[in-house]
Formats: sequence, structure tokens, C-alpha cells
Amino acid sequence: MKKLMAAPYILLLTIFFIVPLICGLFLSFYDGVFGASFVGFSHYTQLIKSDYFIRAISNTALFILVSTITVIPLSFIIASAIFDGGNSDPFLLAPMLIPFVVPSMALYYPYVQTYAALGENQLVWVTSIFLWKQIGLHILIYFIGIILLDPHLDEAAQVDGASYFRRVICIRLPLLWPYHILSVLLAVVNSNRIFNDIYVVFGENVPSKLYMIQNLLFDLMKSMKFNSMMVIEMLFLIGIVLILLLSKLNKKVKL
Amino acid sequence: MKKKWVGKSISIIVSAALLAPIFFVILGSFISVDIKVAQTNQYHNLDFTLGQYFTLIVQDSNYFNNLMNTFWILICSVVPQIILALGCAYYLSYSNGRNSRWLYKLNVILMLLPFQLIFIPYLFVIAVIGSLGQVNLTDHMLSVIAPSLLSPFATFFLTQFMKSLPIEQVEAARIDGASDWIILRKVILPQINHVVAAVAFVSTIDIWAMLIQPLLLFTDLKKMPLALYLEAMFANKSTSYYAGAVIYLLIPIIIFIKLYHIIRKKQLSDEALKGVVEDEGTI
Repeated sequence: MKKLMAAPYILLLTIFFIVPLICGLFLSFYDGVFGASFVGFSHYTQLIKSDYFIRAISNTALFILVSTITVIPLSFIIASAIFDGGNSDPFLLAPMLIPFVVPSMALYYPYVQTYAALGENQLVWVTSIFLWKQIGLHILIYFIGIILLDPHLDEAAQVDGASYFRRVICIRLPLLWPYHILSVLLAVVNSNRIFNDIYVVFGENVPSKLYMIQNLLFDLMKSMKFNSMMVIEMLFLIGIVLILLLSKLNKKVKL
Repeated sequence: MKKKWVGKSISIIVSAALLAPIFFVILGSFISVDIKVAQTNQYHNLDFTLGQYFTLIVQDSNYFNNLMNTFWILICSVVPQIILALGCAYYLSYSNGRNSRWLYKLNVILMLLPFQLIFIPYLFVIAVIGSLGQVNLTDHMLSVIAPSLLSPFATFFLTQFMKSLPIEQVEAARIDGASDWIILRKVILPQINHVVAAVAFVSTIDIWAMLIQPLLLFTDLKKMPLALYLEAMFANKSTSYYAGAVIYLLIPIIIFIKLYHIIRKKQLSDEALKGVVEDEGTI
């Protein structure tokens, strides 16, 4: 009965993901879809050497780095300030989540005007949009983390004469380690959403500094270049599987 | 003694700063706007008017048609998505076989993949069906509904919450002769309904703001979802764009407020129940 309940999900997973993925693995070594000829690693080498791919990868990496470095400390500081200011009700932070739920397509004019106000600096603009949309979520995560910390540790340090900043840096910051990981993970995963915001302002004529991996995928999808698309898919899959294997290996070594 | 107003003031200031662009759009819908002027940020006519809403309701029949398209896509995607995710999450939570462990790992990999990459195999399926000449899924709602039925995030999230429930409840229900379906519906679901609502909401905002899939699969103005129609509105320099944008952005906000109340209510009832149990314990 349990298997029967999961059967529709497994069926869809097989039709829409597993079967095309297996076909895709073969397609990445072939040219064309039907009656394809074997080309080996030609698509892989072509893609890795192409300017678009290098630009997309470097822009995406830079954007993820800058946005994560900005959003995490800022949200930690704001969450700490709110909590230490005497507010311990996370429900009061709900309005901060609203930018996260608002669809980008409704915000064309605020985006255009922010872009003009920031002197058309593309990296600053895209980071500020990311900050605006995501910071509420990260503040909430840190806020919940701070609430769940054992208050006795902080009180003991206070009795020992530790200053406020020392307590935050030496007690709160290390104890929130799982929340830092969660926050980084969410920042990286949600950085994919920036495609919509960039598209709203620039459409398909994306400036070279904002050309991300999602734009490359979109261009490949639009031109129906399945072989190259599958190469990117395979590279991502290999990366994720490697990360999962490494984390498992790491656990085993520790044991 | 902590000064409570400091924390509240900081949260109010941060919230106000974050909500400012949304107020700007709402405000823009109540003034008569020349779009060319709006782009340069110089408003000549700032009189209060409902003209944009009037134009949108009376003259633009496509807008509400596309709004309904988005609603249909939303309902047809989210409802089956949650049902499928619940079934799979139940299997992953209460089955210890090797198959369920593999399915869980596959689900985690799928969750970590960027959405565009999950969409690639699906496009491949559409292309194969199209080239076989059987069905043309372009400009068809089904083409955006089908990939949305599968949500690894919803499955993962529900599995985690189901695993956190005490297993004794499920075992007791099974001893009493309840089937898996009854256990899910009568034992588990009432305890995680607020989580289901939260997961459904996350799916809703994703589908509501969906852009890449319609961009690739829709060309007909009447059949496309609202996100694409709004793009057409500002591309055509429509003078009722702000009003259209406000209706579009207010719907997820209203759903969010409703969800906030559901979760708040659940929290208050849990606290009240905890208080009663503690009181009985003291007595």
C-alpha cells in the first residue's frame, strides 16, 4: 500500500526525469537527436572552451560570492539587533518576507529606477535586488536560531564580564553554525531566481556582466541545442553527486 | 531590563524599507501615468485617479483572461503536486527498504539541481513528442502544468516533518486496523496541515511568478499566463501597467497573510495546549 501511494510520483519522476536523463547522457556524446552520429567528448570540449560558458560560470560564481557575503553578515546583524532590542516574537518579522513572495514581473519600474539610481552598475544592482528579495528570509532564519540558543551561556559570559560584542562573536556566532550552513545553502539555491529579475529589466539582451548560467541555459533551450544542454546537465549532476559522496566519505572517516 | 521598543522599532524600520518598492508600485497605480515619462522618473500629473483600474477592467479583456489562465495553471499544478508529494513523503518516512533510501537520495539530488536543469529533460520529452507528430504541447496549459506536478522540495520538506512525528501513533493506528491511506489522512495530516499549507504556498509563489517555461512554450497572447502578459503590457507601453502589476502582486501577498494567520493560530493553540498539560501536571 505504501508503495502504491508513492507510485504516481515515481512514475512521473521516471517519465519526466530519469528516462530523458539517461537519453541525455547518450545525447551529450552524439550530434543531433534522431539518427545522431557519435562525436565523443566534442560537445564537452566545445562548451568548456566557449566564451559564453566561461563568462556565464565566472559571472554566476562572482554573483553568488558577492550576494552570499553581503546577505549573511547583514541578516545576522539585523537579527541580533532585533532580538537584543527586546523583540522575541518571530511573527513580527513576517512583513520582511513579503519581497520574497512578490513576483518580479510586477516590479519593472522600481527595478529600472534602482538601476538608474545606482549609476547602471550591474553587479551592485543585481546584488541589491537579491538583498532586497532574500534578506527577510535570512533574518528570520538567524532570528529563530538566536531564540533557540541556550540563554544561560550568554548570561554566564555576562557574569564573567564579557562585553556584548565579545559574547556575540565568541558565543552566538559559533553556536549558530548550522544556521550559517542553512543560510549559505539557501542563498546559493535562491540565486537561481535572479534570472527572472534580470529578464524583467533587460529581456533577452542581457549585458555581458549579468550573463549568468541560467541565461546560457535559456539561450540553449530557446535554440533547442539539446546536446549542449545535456552537457551542462551532466556537469551539474557530476558535481552534485561528487559533493554528496564527499560528504558521506567525510562522515565515514570521522567515524 | 530590555527595552522592547528598540527591537520593535528596528523590525518596523527594516520592514518599511523592504516594503517601499511595493508601495511605490501601489501608489503608481493611483496616478495618471504616461509610461514614457514614468521611465524617466518625472511625473507631471500626480492627481489621484482610478483611471488605470478603469482602463484595465473595461478595455483590457485579455488581462483577466490571462489572470484566469494563471489561476488554472496554479490550481491544476499545486493540488496534484501536494497530493503526490504527500503520498511519496509517507512512503519515504515509514518505509525502511533500500528502494525508499534510493528514492530519497534521488529526490535530494533533484532538489539541489537548479530548476532550469530539471526543465531540460522535460523539454526533451516535449521535443520528442512533437517530433513524433503526436501532440503539439506549445501554447497548451498542460505543457507548464506537467513539470510542476513533480516537486522534490515539497516531497523533501513533508518527509522531514513526517519523520519528526512519533512513530508510536502510526503503529497504534496500524494495530487498530487502519490502512496506510487512513493513517495519512486521519493521523498524520491533521498534525502537519500547517506545514502542508506552507509547502503549498512556496509552490504557489513559484508557479505564480513562473517565467522561463511560458517564455519557451507560449506564443499566443490569449493563452499565456499573466507574467508574460505583463511583459507584453510594458513592452507595448500600456498606461494601465501599474494597475495590472498591483493586482498581480497583491494576490500572493493576500495568500501570504492568510498563511501567516493559519500558522499563528496553530502556534497559539499549541502553546495553549502545552499550558493545559503543564497545569494538569502540576495539579
